[in-house]
Amino acid sequence: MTTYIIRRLVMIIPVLFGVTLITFFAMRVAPGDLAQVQLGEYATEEALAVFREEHGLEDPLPIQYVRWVSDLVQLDLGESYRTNASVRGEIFDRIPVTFQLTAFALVFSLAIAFPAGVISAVRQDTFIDYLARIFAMAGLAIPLFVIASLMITLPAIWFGWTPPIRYTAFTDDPLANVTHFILPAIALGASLAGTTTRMIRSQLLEVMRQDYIRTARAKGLSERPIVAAHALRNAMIPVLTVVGLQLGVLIGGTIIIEQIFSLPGIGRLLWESVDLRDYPMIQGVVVFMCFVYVFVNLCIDIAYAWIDPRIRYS
Amino acid sequence: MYRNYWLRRARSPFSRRRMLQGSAAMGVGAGSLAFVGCGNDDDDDAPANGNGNGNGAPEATRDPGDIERQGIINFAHTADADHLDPHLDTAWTMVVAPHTHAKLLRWSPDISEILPDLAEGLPEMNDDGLEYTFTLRPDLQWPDGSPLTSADIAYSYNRIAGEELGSPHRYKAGPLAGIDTPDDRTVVFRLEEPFVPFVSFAATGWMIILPEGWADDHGDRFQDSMGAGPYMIDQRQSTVSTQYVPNPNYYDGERPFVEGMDFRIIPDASTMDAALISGDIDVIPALTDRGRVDNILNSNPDIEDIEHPSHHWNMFIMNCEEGREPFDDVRVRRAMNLLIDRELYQAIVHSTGGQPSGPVTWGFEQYAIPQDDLVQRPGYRPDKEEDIQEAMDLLSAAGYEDGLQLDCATTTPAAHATYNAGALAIQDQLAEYGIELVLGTTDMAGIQEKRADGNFDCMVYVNGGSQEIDEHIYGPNRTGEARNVNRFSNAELDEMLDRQRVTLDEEERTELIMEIQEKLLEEVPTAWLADPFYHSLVNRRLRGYNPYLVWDRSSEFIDAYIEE
Repeated sequence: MTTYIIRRLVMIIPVLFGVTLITFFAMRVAPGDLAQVQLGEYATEEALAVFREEHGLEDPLPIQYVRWVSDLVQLDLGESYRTNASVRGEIFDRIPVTFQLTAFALVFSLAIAFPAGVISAVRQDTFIDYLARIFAMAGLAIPLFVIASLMITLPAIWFGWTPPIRYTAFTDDPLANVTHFILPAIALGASLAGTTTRMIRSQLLEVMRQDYIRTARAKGLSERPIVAAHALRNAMIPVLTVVGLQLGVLIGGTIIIEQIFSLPGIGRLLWESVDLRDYPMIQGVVVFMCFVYVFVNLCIDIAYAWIDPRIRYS
Repeated sequence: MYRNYWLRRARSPFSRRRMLQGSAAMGVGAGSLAFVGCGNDDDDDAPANGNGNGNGAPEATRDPGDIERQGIINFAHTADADHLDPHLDTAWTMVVAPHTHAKLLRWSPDISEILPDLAEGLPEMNDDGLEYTFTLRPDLQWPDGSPLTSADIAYSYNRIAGEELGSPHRYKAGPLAGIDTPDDRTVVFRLEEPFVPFVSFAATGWMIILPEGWADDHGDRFQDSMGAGPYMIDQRQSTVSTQYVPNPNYYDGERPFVEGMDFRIIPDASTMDAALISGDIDVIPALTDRGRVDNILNSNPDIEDIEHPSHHWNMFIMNCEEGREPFDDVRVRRAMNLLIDRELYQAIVHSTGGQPSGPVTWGFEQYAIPQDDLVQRPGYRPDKEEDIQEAMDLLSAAGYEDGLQLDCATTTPAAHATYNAGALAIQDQLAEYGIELVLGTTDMAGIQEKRADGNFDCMVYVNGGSQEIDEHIYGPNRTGEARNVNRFSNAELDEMLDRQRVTLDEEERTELIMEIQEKLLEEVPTAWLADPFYHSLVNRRLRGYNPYLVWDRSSEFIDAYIEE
């Protein structure tokens, strides 16, 4: 197992390398003069030249890339062109917000998906199954920005109430903090809940038709332990894979959700930085997000062995 | 004067006819901008605030000793300032910085007069217009208690005027020959030649005064600031929120009338609407979408609608660079001007209604060509048939009888929604006459690059306007100016534009500015479109709010107070 983990960790390096290449050069291909964006359209040629000189923008792109990557391996993500703030510091300031939002969304989606998926499979083709499937389809079909916008505007129009639009840190006011995250988490988690519900249902239906389930029933076991102890655990591996892959969707979704609910997280930071061509910030955030995504999926791979002891990594 | 300026309308539908009736009744002069009033001035449903306006300034007779600061003003914007250095910005710094800073002078909120700010009065000008002497108020202090002196003024102006900084506001300091500071309270500006806009530029929100050496210590495009305005920043998290508290050393001990202000960034427009409806924020300024306005008003009876004009102006810019077809040919430019249906543009892009504008937007009434005159002119005539025939003849004469294709640069961010909505509206109109607008949609960075490189044929563009007429006509039209994004050049016009800057006689200058507009209408480097009536929606708890008429928000909360 240790060898496997080390091997997987080493494999992260070429992935991250690829991400740095794509991010760095894709940003340079995008239209817009960085110096002009930072200094404003009426900036003089002299001021633009000074900015480019100060930030090494006149150097050939490969040199700029090597300079950035060599700083990156020393965990120096540079400074924002826009605010001069440390990129690493800015990411660490914002990560608790995005982490909390993603965690809440994950918890919400699993809290809905597990019972809905299981009941839907166990009570196949009943009213409750149809209800669960409609819910799952709705979660998948309705774009999250629509769900989020409705969550904000409808209560305001109907009841003159909106969820708090001011972010409060958990340490300052836990109740206000949690209140602020409930609706964004629901909006963000709806799609994942739909996907997971459908996945659990289909996997469970397949497992429930296996011989060992029939054997368990023949032994006289009641339905509840059959589902809980035998079927569900075996149905979990594909579900876990989907959850891991959906994490990317969740992280991407934070960009929209943080905009709509005014949450100062990583997603919003990325959005603002792209708009202003803040290269160091964009590159830093993308590499960081990529690392988190790869790392979480590694953790999920490791979790397979815990769920199914037959799986051995060698 | 101020109290009669804002004519509020609430809930009732707006009609163009009523607007024109209101316009016909208006008087001429800067103080008579009340022409936006279209009747139905329903003060009755506004809580009394002592001035009969429902949303005007607090009573001037209040004694400083009676003032008890109470409440927090909550407001928001879709984007934050990248830095807090107004000398190096023309955009979002204006949403954060002006509340903390002071200038030598300031414009009254209705742009009718220039008032003293740090100076104790208007400056003395010598006979040849080459020297302006300002006397500062006595005992001015920065928030940290250090004295604010003439040296700070000289430092700030030298910074703006200095070539090395590359300030986009450099021209506002005029052709500065030098600044003398004979004592702590006296500043003498010496100019190389007369520069008539000097005083009015000194009162605009970008000409803020910094403590001497501030940028040397904190760098250009600084992130923390110290100003001599009514507020100071207590806490700030960039792109999230900024909290203001009263500046204890503000020269006007009476102001501000509140305990503080809470400014938040809410990037999504529908979230901002919801926040206003629920009372989470107190104001959304300058809306031009009737549906949005009505939705908010119908959802919360405690929200008041202030309708007002503005100096912002919508325009269809044509790239006139020599040798660049087709707009290097004045006939094609004239044809565009004739074909555009301004009333239709207005109805599509700004559903709150509005009026067509000439080279100076109708909201800048002192200099704008009167509406009854404007609507007689080619391109503005209500009956478009004659215009269309004339335009087709011009296009044929220019060799475009089979139509033409134009690269129209545009962008889609929410804060610049008019660019794209306007481009789509014009695209639709011109398609009828065989003119295809190919929309090159990009983000703001992309469009800035296109503007800087001149890599476009045309674009719909909205400018934030200014209190000073020079800013409306000089930069956008003078050969070689950075703001002349359509690269228009005309020697005769350049001479006239230069001359208006040195014409000391006000009447003579006004006449010259009208002549300049006639010349511009002849050359049409730009097809000026139509400008809307703006609606600022305010929670009734916020009293004394001043909608901003130009992109200078210094006065927005200067008179504001909270009445729960």
